[in-house]
Amino acid sequence: MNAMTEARTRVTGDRVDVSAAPIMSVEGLSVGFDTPHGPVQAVDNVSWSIRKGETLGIIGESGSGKSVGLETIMGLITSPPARISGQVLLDGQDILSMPQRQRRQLRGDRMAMIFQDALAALNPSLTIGTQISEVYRIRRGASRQAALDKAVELMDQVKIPSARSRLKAYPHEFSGGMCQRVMIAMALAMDPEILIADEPTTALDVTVQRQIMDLLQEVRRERGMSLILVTHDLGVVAECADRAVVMYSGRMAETATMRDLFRTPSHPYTRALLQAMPRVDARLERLQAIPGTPPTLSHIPSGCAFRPRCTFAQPRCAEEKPELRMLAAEHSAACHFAEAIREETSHD
Amino acid sequence: MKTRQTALAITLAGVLAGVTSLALADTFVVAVPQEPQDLAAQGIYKEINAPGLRNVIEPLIMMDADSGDYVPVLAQDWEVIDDTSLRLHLREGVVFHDGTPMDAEAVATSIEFVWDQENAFTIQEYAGPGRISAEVEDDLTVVVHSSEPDPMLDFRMSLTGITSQDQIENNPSAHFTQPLGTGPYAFEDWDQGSSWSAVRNDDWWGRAADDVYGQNIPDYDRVRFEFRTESSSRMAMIMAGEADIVVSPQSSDCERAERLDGFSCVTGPSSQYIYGRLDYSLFADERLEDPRIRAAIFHALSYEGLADILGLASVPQGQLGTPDMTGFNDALEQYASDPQRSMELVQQAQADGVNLNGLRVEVMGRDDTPRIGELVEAIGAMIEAVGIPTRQNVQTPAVANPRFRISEYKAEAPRAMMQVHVKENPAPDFGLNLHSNYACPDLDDPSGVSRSSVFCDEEFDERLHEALTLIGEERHEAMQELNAFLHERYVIIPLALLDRAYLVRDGLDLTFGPDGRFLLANVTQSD
Amino acid sequence: MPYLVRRAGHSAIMLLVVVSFVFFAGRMIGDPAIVMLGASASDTALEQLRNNLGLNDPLLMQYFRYVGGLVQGDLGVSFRYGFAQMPAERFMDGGGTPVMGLVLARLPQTLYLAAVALGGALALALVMGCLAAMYPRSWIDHLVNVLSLASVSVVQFWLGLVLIVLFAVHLGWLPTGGYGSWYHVILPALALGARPLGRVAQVTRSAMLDEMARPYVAAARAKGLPEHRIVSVHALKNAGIPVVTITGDELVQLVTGAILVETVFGWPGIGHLLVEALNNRDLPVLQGAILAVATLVIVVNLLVDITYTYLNPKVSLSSREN
Repeated sequence: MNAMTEARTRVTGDRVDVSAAPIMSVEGLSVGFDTPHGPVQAVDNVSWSIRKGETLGIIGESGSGKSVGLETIMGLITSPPARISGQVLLDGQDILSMPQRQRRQLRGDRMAMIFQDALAALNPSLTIGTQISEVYRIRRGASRQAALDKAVELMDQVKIPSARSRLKAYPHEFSGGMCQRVMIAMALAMDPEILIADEPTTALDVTVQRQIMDLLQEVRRERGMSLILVTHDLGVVAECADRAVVMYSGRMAETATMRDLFRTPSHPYTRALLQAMPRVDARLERLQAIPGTPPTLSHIPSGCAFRPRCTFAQPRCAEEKPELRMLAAEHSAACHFAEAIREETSHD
Repeated sequence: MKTRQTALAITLAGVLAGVTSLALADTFVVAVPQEPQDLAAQGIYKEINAPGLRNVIEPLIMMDADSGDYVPVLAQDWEVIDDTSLRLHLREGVVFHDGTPMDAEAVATSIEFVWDQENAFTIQEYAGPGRISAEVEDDLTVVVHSSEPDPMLDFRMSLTGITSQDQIENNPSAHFTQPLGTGPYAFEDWDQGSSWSAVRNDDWWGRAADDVYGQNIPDYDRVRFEFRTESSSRMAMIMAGEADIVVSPQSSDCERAERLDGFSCVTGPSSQYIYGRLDYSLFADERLEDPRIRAAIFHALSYEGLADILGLASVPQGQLGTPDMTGFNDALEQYASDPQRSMELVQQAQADGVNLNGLRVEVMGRDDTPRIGELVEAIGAMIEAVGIPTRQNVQTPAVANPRFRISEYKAEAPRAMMQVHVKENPAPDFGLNLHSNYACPDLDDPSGVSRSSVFCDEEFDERLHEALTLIGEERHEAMQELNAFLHERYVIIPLALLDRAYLVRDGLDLTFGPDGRFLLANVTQSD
Repeated sequence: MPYLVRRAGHSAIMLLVVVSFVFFAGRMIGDPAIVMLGASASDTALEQLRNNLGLNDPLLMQYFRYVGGLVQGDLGVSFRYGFAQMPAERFMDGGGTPVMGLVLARLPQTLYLAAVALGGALALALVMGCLAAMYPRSWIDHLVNVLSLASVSVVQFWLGLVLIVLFAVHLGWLPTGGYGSWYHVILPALALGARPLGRVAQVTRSAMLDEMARPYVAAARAKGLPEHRIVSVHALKNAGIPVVTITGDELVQLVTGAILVETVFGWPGIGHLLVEALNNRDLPVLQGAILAVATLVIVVNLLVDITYTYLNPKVSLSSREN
């Protein structure tokens, strides 16, 4: 565990002012949909916040609602068709209640997002140059040439070699890693304060993963940007996040600083995730996978959604939905036995 | 946003300007069903070739609608010298639209050019038995010759368009597209695929002459003939006020004209008729020579019903022409529509040993005949109803035309065909009609006019030959008798007489030209 | 470019097949001389006409003469326009109206009508399709659906007449037909454009719905692009391939539609020429008009192929060889 914490410190290197007011805070966000199989609650009463310059990890398996929540924040999911409640405060203003027009102004400028499958997220029939420069040209009113110059500058920043000559290239001419760099350049074009990276490295091979993560950290640091890193891979978060939110079945399971999360995981799910993590010092050991499968959103078990897969489960878990409880400063978990588990793990 | 509004305003203004310029002042617009293939002088022999061309190109003489007599046009006077020659005295001081004089030399050139067999113009369908030539007697006198006796030289002269000699000799290509005639309108422009137009000829001889044809001196600045193949499109033109006159409306258009304001349908008899030519004495199925079977077929048909199917048509009076024609027999009546009698006739014939087994009368039409499908079907059904089997057939001209020729009868013999066909009487005289429809075909006849006949009767041929040499009342009576002779023998079924119709804008009166020609000289203001 | 060369070769062979078919089929249905002069014409007149038209030569010789002329851009001489029936030596310029001239005189009008019809239809259809895809299941979507279905199912001939009655006869806004100023083209273009309008709108709508659900659209939104640009540039360009395919198909239909529409509106185009040639049994003109139409169709298909490569950078002309 210590190795991980050290790794994190090594990578981030800088410190976040923990006393500063959060740049964005999400309060009681719920997102539901009506589907042919009945209503589903993709995000259920989620709250978290992020400070300037901070990296927040959001961890969860697919279907845990992590992407839906962030897409709602970005305004890519709207009501209708979704049912959205709660607040997302940006500088104290609830962006969920803003008119669409105003929210669009926020995108790119205040917050930007990059996606898991960069190749799919790039338009196959427009050149890289166009895709990086267009938003700058349109929103900033820049000339075509100025916008292309800006694109070259951004491509240099994300370390795309011989940028200018590749302005006219199409996405299919790029490797996956290069596409992700293009995505990042696109997202940075308007100099956003918050960058949401939704599984940015999942589709890439290991060496490229590392390069992209390093790049993200680098641009975050240079720009004093906040980074929300969404992943199912605890290892990725371990290396670069300051704090993390663990999501399970649309709800928050646990939130803590990385240090606390690794030292004293207090939710059985977090514990299971940590155990499933490949370790540097135990490479040959078999990974301990979490037994069972995550629930589908339309069939969430009663009480605690993790109950069917939980080794700590008691009859109470089936009847009572555990609320998120504060365990320590910046550490909360939603488990009836969180305190006990925390005790136990801290003595490991 | 501002520029968009401006653009819209300009567009609207343009539309309005366009609309106001649609009705070009003082242009007389005629909607015609077909674009002419050319505007050559030879084309004026038939209105369908180039509707309206008669306003530009004039013949030497033309037939008067009421009297059926020839009246002077470019020839002021003429006399028949003998049965092969005709002398014409030309009007003095007439010039073509190019300013060259219309004199004997010019007229002779035109006549020989139009009738030259080597030129193979379609006017050859009305060629006489001999070759036509023309001789200049003096400046204003021309003598027309036929190499064989031809009592209808005057008729052929009424078909012959006279145009500039200079053009025929020096610019023959232009002769086909830029006609230079003598008429009240001078050719102006031919907009291929759309229309052709002519402007008023202020130097027209008719303005000063006291024997000018027509109802008045036409005074429109310009006349334009718009080509619209679709009858509904032509109808729309007069409904929208774009056309003053519409040529060949459908019968339904005429019915609608009754209910609509602004124009009306004017109808009158035309020279066209529809006949049923039932194979008779040439390579025909022998059962069709039995008078009872023939009569049964003739009486099986409801002629009123057929006229109804056709729309603008009427029931003939037992012969293939109209009362204005020389030789029309007033005493004849149309074959009675009497299926009961037909059935009895069929039974009688069968009782006498006429075996109808294997007989199947082919009712056949050509697909360019109006309403031919319905017509053929109705006729077939009526004949079937009296117990004579039929089959019905509509063919393209390319397939049908050779079957009307004698060589094909032979190939198909024995044949039992009833050809349902439109024909036209080119002149108000039964002579050509009787000759081409009933005379026994002669393979050596160079004119070929009798080649579509199915009838061979020596007595008839002799009497016709004599009648054709007669003139005046004698001719009339001889042909009346021939019509009665044919009527009794059930040779050809006169199915219907087609009416000619025009849609005419309110405020105008149209007097029908003598021979189906549209002449602006026959258009008058009615108020 | 070898791909293009090969395609051109195929097209030439196709054209030769079309030409040969029209030539022999035309001769098989009957003797043009009898058709022209009528049943009662004399044998001498018929023989003279056949001689003058060159119909007495062996059929194969006529055919090779025709194809040989084609190679030199000579489509022959009309039987009926002009004076082909006359002995050629009577005229310095050889006699008869060259079919090439007739076809070339009519082609621009057809292209003009087709361009306005298709251009208008395409512009409107793209807007309709995009709007419907932007607001699926809204009243706009329903309206677009009804309109496009109606315009696809309507019979062009009938639509032409309805347009004439409405806009020319009752409202008096536009002429009933004819050719001349720009307003003459409006009604025929509407009649001709209705079908492609409906088809393209339908295809645009469904292709756009597909595209709007793709990740790159979410990504484009996330970077703060205005919606209209996402629709009109990002999604539309990718929806372009099915739209171009259907447009190519419709263009071919457009040529056949032009025959009817030109007839209804008295529009002096190639379709009108074709109908007249058919009515007049003018074989050379009929052949020329069909050849022109076939050439148009082949050129259109080639253009469609080239457009594909523009729309989809992954497909290049050379790679389509396989």
